[in-house]
Amino acid sequence: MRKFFKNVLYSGIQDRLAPEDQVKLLFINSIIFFGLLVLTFFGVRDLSHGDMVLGGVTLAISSVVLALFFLIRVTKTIQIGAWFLPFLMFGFFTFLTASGGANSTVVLWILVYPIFVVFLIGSFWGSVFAAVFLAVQALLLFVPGLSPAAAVELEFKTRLIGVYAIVFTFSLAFEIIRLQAQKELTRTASELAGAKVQTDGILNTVTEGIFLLNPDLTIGDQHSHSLKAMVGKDDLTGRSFLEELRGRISEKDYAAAKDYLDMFFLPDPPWHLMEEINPLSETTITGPDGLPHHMTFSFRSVELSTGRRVLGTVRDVTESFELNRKLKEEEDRSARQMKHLFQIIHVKPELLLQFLQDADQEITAVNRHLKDQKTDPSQLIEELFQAVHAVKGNAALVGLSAFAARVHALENMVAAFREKKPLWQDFLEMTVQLSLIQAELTEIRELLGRMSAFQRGIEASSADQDLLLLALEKAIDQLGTDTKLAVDLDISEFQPHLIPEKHRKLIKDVLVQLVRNSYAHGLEHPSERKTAGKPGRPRIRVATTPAGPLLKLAYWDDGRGIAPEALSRVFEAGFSTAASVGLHAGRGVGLSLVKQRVETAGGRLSLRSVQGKGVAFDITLPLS
Amino acid sequence: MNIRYITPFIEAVEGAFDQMFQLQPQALTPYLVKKEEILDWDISGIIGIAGEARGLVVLSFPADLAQELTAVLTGQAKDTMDEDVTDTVGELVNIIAGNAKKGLEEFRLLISLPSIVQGHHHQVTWPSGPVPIITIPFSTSRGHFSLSVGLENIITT
Repeated sequence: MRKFFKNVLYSGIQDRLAPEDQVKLLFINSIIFFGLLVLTFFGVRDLSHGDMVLGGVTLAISSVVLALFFLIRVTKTIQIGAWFLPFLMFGFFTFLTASGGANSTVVLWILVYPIFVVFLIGSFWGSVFAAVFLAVQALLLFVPGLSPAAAVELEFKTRLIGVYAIVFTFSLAFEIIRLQAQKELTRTASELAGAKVQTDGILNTVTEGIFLLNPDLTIGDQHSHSLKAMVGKDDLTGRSFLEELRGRISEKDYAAAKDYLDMFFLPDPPWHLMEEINPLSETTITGPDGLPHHMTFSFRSVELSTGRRVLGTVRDVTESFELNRKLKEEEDRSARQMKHLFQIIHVKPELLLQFLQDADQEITAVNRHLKDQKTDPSQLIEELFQAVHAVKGNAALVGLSAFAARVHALENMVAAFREKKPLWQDFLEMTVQLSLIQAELTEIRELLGRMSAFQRGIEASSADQDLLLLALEKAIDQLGTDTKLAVDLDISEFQPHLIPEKHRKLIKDVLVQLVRNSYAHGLEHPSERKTAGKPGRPRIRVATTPAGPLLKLAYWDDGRGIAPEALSRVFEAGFSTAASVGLHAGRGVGLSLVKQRVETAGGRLSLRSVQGKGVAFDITLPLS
Repeated sequence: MNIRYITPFIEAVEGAFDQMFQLQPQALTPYLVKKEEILDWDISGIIGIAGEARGLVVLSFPADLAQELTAVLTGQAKDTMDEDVTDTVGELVNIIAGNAKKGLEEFRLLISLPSIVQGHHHQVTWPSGPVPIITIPFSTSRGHFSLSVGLENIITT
């Protein structure tokens, strides 16, 4: 119902208009209805006076206008321009003045005109209309014969003009003030809207939980979106902050937080201490996911016009906290291990192993006594004391002094049990200490395990794999990948251990160089090999033959061989059969360098080549 | 591991048994347990601990004691490990966790809701790393059970 009236009075277009235009629309529509009402009233009155024609016509007009108004409003919105009314009223009032009306008092209607025009069409045009209207009315009033109104007393007419002037002046002043106030209001409203957009933007984006607490410690309606995620609830406004914390933090923190937050609303809290005594500056909270989260809260007092509030911010620092914890754990662990390591390397390995074994046995034996519950208490204490004492003595003997000190503390504890009958709490404390000692022994053992694995690693790599062979295989692998040509390497007669230490580097370099040479000049791709009637994959063979004081090394590939005209020049520096310089060929230094180095070492190098069949290099080196 | 984290649990165990079954369990000498050791129990309630110490507190019962305790509550003799037994142990462990919480108020500790593991010779996965585990056996007039604690103290190592 309310909506309906609103819709009718605003012509249904309220939302599309500025506030000052809305007022005008409301005004015009009200006048239409009021006018219709007056018209209907006069129509009914005329009818009752027996003036059937005039009353009927008046009523007919009013009902037609009313019907049309609703009909048009239903199908489309209508707007009567603010400009229409001043003209209409101009005509109507002038007609009233000119016709004289009842006792000529209707001329008083003209006093209403300035109010209407100034309001509807503004101060400037309103003044113009009011002035013209006044001129016309004056004409009618003062020029005799134009209307019956001219017959009115002169004094009445001049007063009428005076009042008109006053009404006009006040209308003008009122309109100016009204517009000013409206402008001010609109400006404030848009400023507020702008500020709200920014605040919302901040509160929706910020990753911290931000909120204001009222004096009863309920959460205010302005809080950040992240807070909702942290609490796991959407509607936090008006909820008690402490209630949201209850059960999610430890009882101790809960009680402290309550006292702390209440302090903010004391008349004069110790401001300088407030940050320091914040019990929630680092706390663990069960999150909506049921997992513990590390949170840091901070609280500040805020003085608002409505009184004091507490601004709270909260951050989830679980990740950095966990990282720090892990780092610290690792640091502690490695510091302990370094200490152990430092002491271990001064201990004879067999002594240390013996010690670990003994200590483990002692602890296991004691634990068995603890576990079976059957050992007589005083007997148990004696067993404990002797075991701990033995472990301590052995630790000191092998030089694990830090560890020995730890065991010594436990020994003192057990010794006290001999004097005073221990309670289960004492036994518990003792077992905890024992467990820590056992954990430390485990750590030492792990450390030793890693050290010996390291040692085995070194031995394994030097014994199982000949580095020379490794280098050869690696060269073939690399070149094979680069040139996309896989090669079968035959090392069935290659015995790297026959090569004396002093020649190993030379032979390694020579073999790698020869492999490069084969790839660059000799080895054909499978398609070319097929037409030559060779197996698809090229072969390289390396073989060693001991020959008395000499070592013979043979290298052979089954590539296309070296052209006879180039054969005599391959060992010349700067000679190359490759057309261009690449990564693997073309510099012409490879083979000349090989020959030169073999000869420097007192050996010989010879080359045989059969074109289309392959190349063989024979190297002879003195063994001694 | 700090003994002050453990004692509230022991007191809670004593309180809960007295309250629910009018039994006075006796704490016996504690001993060490290896991580991979499979315990000779049939049903366990596991409570997770987080905060300034991390780890597990496990209450383990043999089948006959669990069944007897169930019989006390339901008034009917039991000889199978059915839902009633699981519920009884669950309820008992819940009360123990709740009571222990009060004793741990001074620490920054969070205690998880207990979960129940059932099955002969079941195994508990303890926290990784060198976390020592201590078992405190209890004896009652109706049988033995145990409280095992494996806590890694992350504030003071």
